[in-house]
Amino acid sequence: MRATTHLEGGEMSKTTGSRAGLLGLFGALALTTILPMGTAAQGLTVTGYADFEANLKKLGSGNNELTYDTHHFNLILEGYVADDFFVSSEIEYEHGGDETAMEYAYLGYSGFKDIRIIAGKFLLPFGRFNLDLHPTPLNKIPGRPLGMSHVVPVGFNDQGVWIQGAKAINDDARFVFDVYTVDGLLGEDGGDIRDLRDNIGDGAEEIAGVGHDNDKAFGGRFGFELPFQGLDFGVSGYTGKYAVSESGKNLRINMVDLDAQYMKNDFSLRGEYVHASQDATGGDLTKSGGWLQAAYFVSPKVEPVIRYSFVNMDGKESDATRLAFGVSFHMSAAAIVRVAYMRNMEETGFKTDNDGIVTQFNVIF
Amino acid sequence: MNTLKKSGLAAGLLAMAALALPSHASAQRSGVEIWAVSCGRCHTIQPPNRYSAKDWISIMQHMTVAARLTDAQRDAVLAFLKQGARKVASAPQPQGPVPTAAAAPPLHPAALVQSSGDPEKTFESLCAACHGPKGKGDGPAAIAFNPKPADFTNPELWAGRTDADIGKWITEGVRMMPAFGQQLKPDQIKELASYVRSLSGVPAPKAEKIAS
Repeated sequence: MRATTHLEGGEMSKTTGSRAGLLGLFGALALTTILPMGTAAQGLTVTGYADFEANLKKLGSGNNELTYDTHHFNLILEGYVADDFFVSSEIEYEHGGDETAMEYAYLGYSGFKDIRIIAGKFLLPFGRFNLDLHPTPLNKIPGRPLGMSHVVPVGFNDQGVWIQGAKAINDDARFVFDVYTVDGLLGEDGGDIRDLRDNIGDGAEEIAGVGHDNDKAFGGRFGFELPFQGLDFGVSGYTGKYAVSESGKNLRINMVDLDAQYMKNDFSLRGEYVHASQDATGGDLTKSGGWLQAAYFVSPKVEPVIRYSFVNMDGKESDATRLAFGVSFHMSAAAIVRVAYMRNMEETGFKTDNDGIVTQFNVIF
Repeated sequence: MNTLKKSGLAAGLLAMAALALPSHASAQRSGVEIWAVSCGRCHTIQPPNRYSAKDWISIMQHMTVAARLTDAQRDAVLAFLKQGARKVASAPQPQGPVPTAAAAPPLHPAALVQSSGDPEKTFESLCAACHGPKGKGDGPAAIAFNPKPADFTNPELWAGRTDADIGKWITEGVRMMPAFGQQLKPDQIKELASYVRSLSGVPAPKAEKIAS
């Protein structure tokens, strides 16, 4: 496995050929074509991460199931194009290549002081888990916490324009903000939010009863960070139309998220809470969820972690909580082995057969 | 919709307020401090020699977005990373205009020159983010390092080590620690080596001190 690979400007087209959402990359390629040689492409840097998991499920059922999963082999392409333009993309090969997707692909511009303008397909800056913490090398417990799946559909990405900025208040504090507009979630009236992510293509538009139109979704995150004190927190919002009912009423989904993080010496504490309200003909849906995670390095290479997460769906039968215990073994700066035990509890009764143990090996390359 | 419009208006006003805030130059924190703390908030620290300077230029574009750095912070981090970057034989140099960071001067030279004669200031600027203010290996960025930063207060660390060894580590880097040879003058390296050893309370034998 190579540590890094360079693809010069003339070779950039070899990396493309994927699907919609390549606006940023195409834009960058176009720039490299039309700009004079003096400002030609500087090349792409290819990095990425990969992980393999052994999942032992249905503990306590007397019929344990062991499955293997090459969960991710994701290539991250990052390129400085010219002047203040740059491109970034993540090509995702999941589950042994059974699922291939473009996690993000955007063209960025950093010509304004402390401001980045991004156009293309990007992970929405909604909370911290979606944008920053869900990649496996960063996620201390394999899998998504409850609430980061059926309330926030991590990985939550879309196409549009994103303006991001940071303002230093003093040497140690900064105010950060993200505002964006995107096509928006699209799907069935009252549909599961994970299905609403599939908003690209005619099929999705037919299901929603409406295509993407001028009624764009928008949102943002505002945060305050004290990185040298290990503290940051933020508030995020999202609003957008996701369907039109049979009676012609626009159906919207609105979400608010609060996130916070504290790190001190070998200890880290992170948490996030999200609340969503979704219009639906059969009755509006209200959902909430969240997670709280604490981790501590007991030695330079061993980091136990505990994570509590919950989701309150509209209807108690779907409510659930999960307690997960794990240990990360940091083999090197680029390789981690994680072992985690997850204990799930649902309102319909305590179930032992969906508890499980996940062993994960992941690398950054 | 009224609520939504109000929310949108509030978001817009907040964004405008943020844009209107006076921008702090943020030149007092060194690139190594910002690198260690900002990168370590999400992932294990990757040492500067993991990638070439050209790679870092590309990587830092996206990482500036991910870490939400100001331009001054980005420039300081990139200047630091490029100085410790992996050397690539016959690697083509970037052509044409490059980002501001690529042309950034060495790591805050003014601050370093002023620190001459005061190794404690140099230590605070370059070492404390990882090794901690007292050198115990417990700086704010220590959580993101593997292996962890050394505890300078441990006398066993210095057993069999000369000040010349310490000076060489500072100059050339060791394990995860980047090289600071390009950012420090020889007398600053000598002062810093003595200061770092002094944190353990174990003085170096005279014969082992770096020759003047």
